[in-house]
Amino acid sequence: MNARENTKTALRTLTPLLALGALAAGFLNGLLGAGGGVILYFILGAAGGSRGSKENLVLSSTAVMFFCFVSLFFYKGNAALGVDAILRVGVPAALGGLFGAYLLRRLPAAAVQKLFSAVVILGGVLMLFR
Amino acid sequence: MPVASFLVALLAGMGVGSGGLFVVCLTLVFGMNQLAAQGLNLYFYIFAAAAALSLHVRTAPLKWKRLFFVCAFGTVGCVLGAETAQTMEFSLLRRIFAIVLIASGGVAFFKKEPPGVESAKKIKKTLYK
Repeated sequence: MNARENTKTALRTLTPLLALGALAAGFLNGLLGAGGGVILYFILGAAGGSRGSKENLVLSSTAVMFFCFVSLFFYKGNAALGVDAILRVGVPAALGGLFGAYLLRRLPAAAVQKLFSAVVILGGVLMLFR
Repeated sequence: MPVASFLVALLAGMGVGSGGLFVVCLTLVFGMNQLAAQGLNLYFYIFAAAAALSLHVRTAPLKWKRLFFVCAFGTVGCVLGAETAQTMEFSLLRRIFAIVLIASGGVAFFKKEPPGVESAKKIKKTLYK
């Protein structure tokens, strides 16, 4: 089997995987108002992209941002999303996002990720037993 | 709330994922109901991700074809998920949210660095010995 046929076979196998992953990530985003990025990131890594690459991080973040717009359409009746929310949540979030992206190049990402994961697990446990 | 928003966005901007941590803050600290918190979290993510991506895309360009493909299938999932959430009880939704949060935190905690990163570190160590 030559390289071209190999690529074709790989694409045939990986495209349904990517579609399924995108569907699952979208469902999670719509259901929980968050997430989907981790699933996408891993699926993109498995479906041809290099594992842990920044391209996959950017692609999954952009896709999740798009999912948020879609999900928001269904949630707009549940949360107050006016000018007040932009000032109290949107502006600090944008500043935090910018500063975080700047810090990414200067801090040990693996250590930060471990610490963050521990906080996330703790948050989950607190929510479960609330 | 602005301080919580800034701090969680800081982590999201670093690419470690906001992991729904803002929802935890909104429900446990600010006493919001689950659906309202999830709605505000979507809003939060759009701002945080847009700002971080404005810096990241300079070093990692987007693969547009793949993005369109993912967005097309993801949209169907979003609609199904959001419709399901609207019909669920808050307590059940909160429990599902908590379980997903613990699972994703666990995956991220025990995630190994990709082989490329490990070997790059080894090479760097050898070179600077």
